[in-house]
Amino acid sequence: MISLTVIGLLLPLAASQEPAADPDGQAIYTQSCALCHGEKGDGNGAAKFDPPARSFVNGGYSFGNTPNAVFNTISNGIGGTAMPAFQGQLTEAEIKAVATLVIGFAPQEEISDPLAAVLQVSERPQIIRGGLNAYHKKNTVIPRALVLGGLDGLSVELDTATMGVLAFRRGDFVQRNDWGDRGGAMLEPMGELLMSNTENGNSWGLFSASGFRDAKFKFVATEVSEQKAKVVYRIIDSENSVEVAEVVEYFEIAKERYTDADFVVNQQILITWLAECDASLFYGASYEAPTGWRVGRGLRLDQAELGRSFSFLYQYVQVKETLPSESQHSEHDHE
Amino acid sequence: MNSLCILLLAGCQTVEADHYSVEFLPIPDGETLEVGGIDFLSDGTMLLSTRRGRVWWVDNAMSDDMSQMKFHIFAEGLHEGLGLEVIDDEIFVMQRGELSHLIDLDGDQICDRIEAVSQDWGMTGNYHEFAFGMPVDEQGNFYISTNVGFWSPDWWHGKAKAPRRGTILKVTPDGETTWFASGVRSPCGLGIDSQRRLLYTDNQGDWMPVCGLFDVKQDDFFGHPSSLRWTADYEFGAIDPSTTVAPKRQPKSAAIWIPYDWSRSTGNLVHDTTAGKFGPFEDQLFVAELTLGNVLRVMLEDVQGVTQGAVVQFREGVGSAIRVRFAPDGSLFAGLTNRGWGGLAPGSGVARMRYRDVLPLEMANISLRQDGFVIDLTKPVTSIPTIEARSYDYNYWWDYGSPEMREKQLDVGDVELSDDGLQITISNMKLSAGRCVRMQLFGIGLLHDEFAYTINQLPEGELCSERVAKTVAPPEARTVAEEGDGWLTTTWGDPFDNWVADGWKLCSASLDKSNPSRFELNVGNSALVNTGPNATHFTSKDSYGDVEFRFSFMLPEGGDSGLYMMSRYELQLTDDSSCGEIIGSKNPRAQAYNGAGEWHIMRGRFLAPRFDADGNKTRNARFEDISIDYVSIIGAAECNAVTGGAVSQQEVASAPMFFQATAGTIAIADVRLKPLD
Repeated sequence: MISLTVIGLLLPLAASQEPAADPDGQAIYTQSCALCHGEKGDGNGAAKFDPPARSFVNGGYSFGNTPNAVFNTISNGIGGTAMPAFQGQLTEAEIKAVATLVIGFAPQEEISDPLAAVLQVSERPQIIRGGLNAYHKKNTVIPRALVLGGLDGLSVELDTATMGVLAFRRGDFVQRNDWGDRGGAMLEPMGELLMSNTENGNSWGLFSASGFRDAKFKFVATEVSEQKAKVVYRIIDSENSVEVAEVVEYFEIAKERYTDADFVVNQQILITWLAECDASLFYGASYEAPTGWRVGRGLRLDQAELGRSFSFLYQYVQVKETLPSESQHSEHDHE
Repeated sequence: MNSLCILLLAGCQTVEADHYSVEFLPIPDGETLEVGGIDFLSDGTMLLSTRRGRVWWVDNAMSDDMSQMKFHIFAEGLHEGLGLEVIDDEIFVMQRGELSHLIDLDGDQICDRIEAVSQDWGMTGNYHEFAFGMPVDEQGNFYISTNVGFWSPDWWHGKAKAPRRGTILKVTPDGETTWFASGVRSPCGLGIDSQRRLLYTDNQGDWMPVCGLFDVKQDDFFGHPSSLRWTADYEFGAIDPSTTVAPKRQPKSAAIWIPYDWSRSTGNLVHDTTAGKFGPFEDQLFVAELTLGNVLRVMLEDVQGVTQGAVVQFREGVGSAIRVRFAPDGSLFAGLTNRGWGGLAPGSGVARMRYRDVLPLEMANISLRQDGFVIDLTKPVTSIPTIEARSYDYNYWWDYGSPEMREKQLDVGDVELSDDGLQITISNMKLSAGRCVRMQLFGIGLLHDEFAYTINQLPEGELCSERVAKTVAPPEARTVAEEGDGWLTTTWGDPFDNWVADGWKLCSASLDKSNPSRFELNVGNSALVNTGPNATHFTSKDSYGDVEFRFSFMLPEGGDSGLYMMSRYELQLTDDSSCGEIIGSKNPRAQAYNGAGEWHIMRGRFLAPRFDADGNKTRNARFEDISIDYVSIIGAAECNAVTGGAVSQQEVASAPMFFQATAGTIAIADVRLKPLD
């Protein structure tokens, strides 16, 4: 009597939820997989192969043991082996159910909590190396990128191939998506996006030079010192393959207030001359400011003495929406 | 271990743990160390680079009391770390995109500055573009290796979409990076041995029949075609190498092909520099193995200028070992990771192996002779072992790995034990170069009684140009001409001239759409079909012994037949995945049967059993090189006995063959035979 009552209560609920019939992974496995991989996934199926069918019990998956990887392997098979493609024979949901079951046969690894893959800046600045998705073009990646995280909450994304700025963000730092799956995933910067290079393929903030407009940049090092996240690179006269100067730079949110600006990022630059060159070097001369921002319109650096250092400040100014965009603000001082 | 125990152990079969301990380091709570590199500072500090882009600093890693170990993060934020090397107490790490020098500027054991030594190889951002490292030679040059990428959907074809992928690169101390060798696939491990040879390991897959260990010299090519895209052969990136046709450039043979049952994912290698602290294997190589979670031992020798040798199992239960490294105290540490691939638990952390000062009975050294092997033992034995041996080779092709091909049982000629009981000499064997030998020595209590030796060259005679991994027709090539050359076209003209077949019709056949478990038969001469329950087996009038065969067949739904060689040994022909199985012996390794209503071409070779003068069987019947539609499904399969449905249990030297008629319907056509005897 009691059980009848319970059923009476449950039925309308169940009906209202319209449960989709979840595929029975075990049943599908028994029918389609167990012959080769064994009822218990130990590879001891009735069918014997050379090389033997995969044992899931010891782990060991041809193309990865993540849900996506196992789903792909079941869907597409493994070319040239006895493992067939099940795409078309099983539905996506059925393949997922089997993938889940198969992963369950393996020794259970510690699953990294997604939050554990989030890096924050706390006592000292951080510099993260990894790949980044490009802002200017979909499905394009920057395979060697840096994310600098300052104590002031500013993070700066740089491409080590060009040493140009890809984006500024403020807030949380970086999620390391490459800690999941088989690795190699792009980093996911987490802060609020303040400025990004969406307008063309070039990065901003590059040097150019009248004598060798195709100046190249060689990434040298990152350094955390004096509570700053610094990058070091060299400017190369690519025509003559001469390293002309070494640059050390870091970024910080400007403490100064500007009546016409919401936000200002200071780029502190120190240049040391390494070789004589005929050309004059310009900073930021050939780059347009992104919408809503103005940048230094180009600083001409006089030919300098060898070994002499030269520091200057370059600013990225987020212009208040009510004001028209201008493009003038830079200053420099000689040491 | 006290002396009493040692005495007890001396007299009986021991286990690995009696001789080598395995302990797992206490990893800090909440941390997962996916270790990709290990090395030690001169003060004994252990440094671990991890796939999470960290370098951990470990104090007291050699302490007997594991609670004394202290871990802290030395460096954060690297882009993976699949290699770590300490040179004069300077720390170098192999990142996915950069070989880096890590510097602690202020001595607080925290890295402050990371200098790029080299970034000089291409990356597309593909997940599989791992970079591994990195032994250092006497001039201070680093050697690093770059993985090919895998793209869906045909991800088993590794590709080098960016320059210098699939290569081994040499990086000078000042960062100049040059192409050193190519043709690598998944080159997870590099090492330099006591002979100063640069060695690398590769992982089974396309163009790599099994995991291999290779001796690397400038400009070597190891077989995976993808990296050649960036050479003059393919106009420096203008042309893609074929993913299925072998390149013209001849690959260098592996020094060791590691049997599939011993390694699925090979990591790095180190040689024993412990001067006996790690047992009796001075200078030999220890190789990490991830999937099976063990460490292998390798003995190399130079035979006519070619590096080759033997591999044996050493210690199992190590966990998913990708890196091994000797510590100053003679312990062997193993770095573990299996994320994304799976492998024996534990799948992360660090294992420490130590010698218990109890000498195991092992093969201390294995050396090839022209007609056998000389095997030194670690301690004397009193009797001669029973020995079994076989030889085999592999296919070099795009397929994902290769079965052991063209397998043969080897006669073990003469076996002698030296007077001191320390050396076994096996002679009077018929050995060939371009083959692997797997040998097992029973009955003398060896801790590991089996080895696999890769014979690239024999000690005497002309150099052999045949490689163990034989270039074979790629599976999809369908243009093999079988006409002529001794082939008998037994069903051309009147098929019943050569076959006895009551109840079989010469017709054309297709699947009956209203009942796909039957054929619809029409007038024609393209098919021979058994009709009705009274059909007899389709039996050859002639007897055959060794024979190559090729025929076409089609099955209806649920169709069931078989080719009985010598009317005794069945090759299964059924409408399911077991089509091509050698009953009682081996199942197909590849799924090539495409289903009911489709014509297929089955090819293969059958070798009759052999008998001595007294009629005793000396070799079993066997099938070789079985393929369906040119996809290799069986390399070699031995038949210990006749199968069910045979005309007789008595094994003979030759007999007629038949296609079975009594189990179900089949259509056959174009049966061609090439007698080999």
